[in-house]
Amino acid sequence: MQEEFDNLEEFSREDTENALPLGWLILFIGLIVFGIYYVYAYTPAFTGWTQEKQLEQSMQDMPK
Amino acid sequence: MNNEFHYDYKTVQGFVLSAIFWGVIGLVIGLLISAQLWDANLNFGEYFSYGRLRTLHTNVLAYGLGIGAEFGLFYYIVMRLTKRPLVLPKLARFHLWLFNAGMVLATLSLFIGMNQSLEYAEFEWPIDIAIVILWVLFAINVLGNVFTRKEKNMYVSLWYVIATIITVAILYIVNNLAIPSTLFKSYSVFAGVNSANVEWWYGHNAVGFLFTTPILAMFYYFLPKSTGLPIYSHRLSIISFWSLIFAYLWTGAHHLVYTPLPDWIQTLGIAFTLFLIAPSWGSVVNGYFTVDRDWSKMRTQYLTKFFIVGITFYGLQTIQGPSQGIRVISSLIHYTDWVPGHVHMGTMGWVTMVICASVYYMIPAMYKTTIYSEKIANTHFWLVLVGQLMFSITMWITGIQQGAMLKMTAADGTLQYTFMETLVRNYPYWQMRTVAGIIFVVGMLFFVYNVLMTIKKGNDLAKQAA
Ligand code: HEM
Repeated sequence: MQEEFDNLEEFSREDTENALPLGWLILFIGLIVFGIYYVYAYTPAFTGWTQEKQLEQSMQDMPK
Repeated sequence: MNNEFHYDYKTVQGFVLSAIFWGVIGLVIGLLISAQLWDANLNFGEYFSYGRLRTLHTNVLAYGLGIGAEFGLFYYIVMRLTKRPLVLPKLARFHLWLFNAGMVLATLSLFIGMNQSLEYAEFEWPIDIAIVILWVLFAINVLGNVFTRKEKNMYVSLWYVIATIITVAILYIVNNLAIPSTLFKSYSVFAGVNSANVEWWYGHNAVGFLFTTPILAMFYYFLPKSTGLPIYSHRLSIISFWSLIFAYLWTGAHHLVYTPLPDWIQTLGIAFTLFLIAPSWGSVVNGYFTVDRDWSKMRTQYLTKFFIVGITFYGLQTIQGPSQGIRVISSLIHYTDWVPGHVHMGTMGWVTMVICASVYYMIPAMYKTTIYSEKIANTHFWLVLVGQLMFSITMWITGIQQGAMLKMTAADGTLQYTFMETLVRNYPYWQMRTVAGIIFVVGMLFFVYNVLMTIKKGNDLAKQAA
């Protein structure tokens, strides 16, 4: 039995040469920037934030 | 174009049938354990108790249905995209037999209680070694084909296949490193927090490289094939690929939020987890824009809706997942039934949906015929969709309810509810979940019937031709 090939050319017609959608690119870069901020803000060595301190704080905030 | 060889489709089909076989077993066990949760009388002795069967359910479906189907579909995709038969077809056939023999042994070992107590890595060391051998056999053929390919360009699906092969090998070996004490017992080389960290590095990437990258490989190949619409942007597909596999490996710590794992590891994990939205949605957007050229395909080509609904659940999953990683949300939904709701939108709505659609495309293509019945395929589609939505939504509701109850404090600062009080509130939702599961499994039986009948049709045609 003969086999037909899969034509990769068909997979890459001209209308597949699209650039990255702008909205997606903004999301991509935005998440990288936010990630850097987040790591800075919640790393004990940078800002002193720790989960123990957060727990103590939440115990104090409880209505007495 | 003409060529003299023919592809070895028997092995591919063997994997599909094996996957179906293990899938049915895994699904039936799933139904039983779902009922055991609300009626303890359905636990029958040691072997048929929830504790044993839950592990069986996850492993038989992940390894039997999931990986079994992936082996078959990957061999098919790789042959087509490299434009050559497998380098070692006999080895692939041996791989098929070994896979099933291994599955029998692995299933029995869990059934009799051999378990190293690492989630999704329960198998004891002799089975682990067998799995590694199995994986190497698979890798030899696939990578052999890639290196000797007759088509220079590598379509994005091939990249996903390669990433799956390499990453799973690394994950599986590292997390299962153990020192055997007897033939059936071993001790992990990691302990305490280190063990948890490695386990969830493994666990999350099992999701990434068993339930995401292989399914994306299928999605990128079979969506264009079945709709005749080429992928919207190759550039977007490749950038999404590299950023996805780069980010995935760092995120396991989101399973260990508010635990003794050092704060900085948790934070780093959460940052990468949030970033994952972008590469995941790269594929979602690419899928939508592909079909955007001609939405009438949703009506005229019955498989289009499987892929579009599948990628939609992937999109929801990859927003919900990163949200679950955030500390405040984790503290509400972790340790509740919300998580199985998330899991099954992924496994039932995304993974199984796309695997079934790929099989629907591939089986008739191998026999150069058409599907036995589009009508049955449509019935299958709607049943699994309803079953899965009902499953996920009931679990989300009861999960949030339980999370809120666990946190609620009385006026004097003590906990308002006992654990048992939060648990019994799950019962009505667990009962609804069993109904949802039955609907899903009936849908899957339609699928199985349709595939078997298509194979029969193909064989009859071949006989007539001969
Ligand atoms: C960007 C993508 C994803 C992220 C960031 C993500 C994140 C998470 C998080 C944070 C949890 C833990 C919830 C908790 O226990 O508190 C979780 C659990 C889980 N997710 Fe996802 N998820 C994603 C996509 C998926 C997909 C596509 C699947 C496919 C089936 C999936 C399957 C699972 C499974 C099986 C668990 C349960 C693990 C356990 O046993 O505890 N996830 N996910």
